[in-house]
Amino acid sequence: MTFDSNHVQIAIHILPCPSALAGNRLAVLGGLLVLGVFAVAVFAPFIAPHGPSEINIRNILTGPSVSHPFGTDELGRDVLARMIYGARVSLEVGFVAVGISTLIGVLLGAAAGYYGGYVDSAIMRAVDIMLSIPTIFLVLAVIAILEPNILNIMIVIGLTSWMEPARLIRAEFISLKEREFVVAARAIGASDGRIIFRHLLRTGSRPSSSPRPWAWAAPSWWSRRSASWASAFSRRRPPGAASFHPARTISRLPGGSRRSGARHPRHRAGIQSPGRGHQGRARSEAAGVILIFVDYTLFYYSSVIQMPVPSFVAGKFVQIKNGNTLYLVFSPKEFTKYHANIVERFCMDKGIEGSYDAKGERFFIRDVSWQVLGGGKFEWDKNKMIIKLYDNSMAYGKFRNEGLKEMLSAFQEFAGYDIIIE
Amino acid sequence: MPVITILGLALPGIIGGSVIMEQVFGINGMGRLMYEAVFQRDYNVAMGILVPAAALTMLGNYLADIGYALADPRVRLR
Repeated sequence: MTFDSNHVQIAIHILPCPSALAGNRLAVLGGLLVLGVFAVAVFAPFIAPHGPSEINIRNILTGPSVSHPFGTDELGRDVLARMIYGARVSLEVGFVAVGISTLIGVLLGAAAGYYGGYVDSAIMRAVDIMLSIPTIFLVLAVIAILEPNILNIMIVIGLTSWMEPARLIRAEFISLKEREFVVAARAIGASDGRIIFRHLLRTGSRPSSSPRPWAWAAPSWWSRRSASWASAFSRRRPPGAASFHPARTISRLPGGSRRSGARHPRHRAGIQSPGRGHQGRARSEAAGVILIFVDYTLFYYSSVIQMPVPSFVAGKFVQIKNGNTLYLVFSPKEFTKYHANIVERFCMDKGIEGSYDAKGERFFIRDVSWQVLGGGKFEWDKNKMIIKLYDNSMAYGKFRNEGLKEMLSAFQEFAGYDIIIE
Repeated sequence: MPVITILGLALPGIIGGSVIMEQVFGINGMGRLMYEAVFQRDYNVAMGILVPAAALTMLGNYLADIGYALADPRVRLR
């Protein structure tokens, strides 16, 4: 049983849930652009209008034309064809160099951040030494000694750019290792390696993957010997040659998936910073109960995905009680997947302490004066003026419906609405 | 945390950036001086400029370390 649920969680964590990705336009757009670049690299011979090394002395340094859309260089070679073939070299160098630097950086950063003390000092001083020599000169020096072929360049770039991921991972680790889930893991006797690789790395590896793609820009700059993108730009060229780089599109991808993130539920409480104050709040008093309506719909659309609020919103809601105040918390399904996530988000906003249970299915509030009564789903249609509350919550049970209709109709949001409660 | 790290790493970029900018726009500044010093093997000048660059690196990382503790009070650097 535990084995199975572990596997499910790993799968969720590594692959951002497709439906969550589909809700995020930036992530999808970034993914498509990356695929496009890869397709261009793979199918270069079929796409390129000319050979990359085809010399045409009569057309030297021409501007854009039908047969040479990006013009030609100083030997009469087609710039577009060289760009298309250059994608192969640039991607190859980028992958290997970034792979090497990320591997070294993550391992050293993890050790420094987790162990602290002398280990941290030693590794960070090494990082300081490497960082204080400008990379350009470091690479020039190595290239002067080694033969400047593609393989050497990949290795050199990898060995001279691991400091940034190391510092990023270390920063994430020194913060994360003080969190409760690490203390808990240690308390049940987990080894250092297990804590680092299973708990911390999976929670903290996101920041290192997101700025990384910028490193792709640097490697390709050095590979000017063959027809890479950098060489197409570094030469004098006629006006009209476009400037474009895959690093830009790729950096969109992890950033985007972070936002739409279906994440390891147990770790969620740890990573998220306190949410901003929520909009869409209303009060209503009925039968001595103060009802406060909290709605994350506007917050989600205006601040998180930055799109206009659609006229139809569906999602989940929970009822949370404190004394004679009843909170009705709405959240669109794209924003919070489970009822527990709504409770977590609510608690972060209110500054209430709580934590997930061992299975990560339920979020418990530590203070007993706060009670989660139940939950359900909602469908809110602004055009037809219908608000429908139905279903229940697996974690918290069915919502309480006594007086709910009267309370809802007192809100100005739902004035004149058909209220359907099932 | 990643933002603080990047900010700290960006500080030495003041000199690194000036190398590129001054070279591209033909400004006679410290960055260009260093670039030319390296290519003319003028070690004294190159090292002289590397010292403030290295100092900025250290300063950036040091400030980032302090920034972590400010951003997250749970962080303890021993």
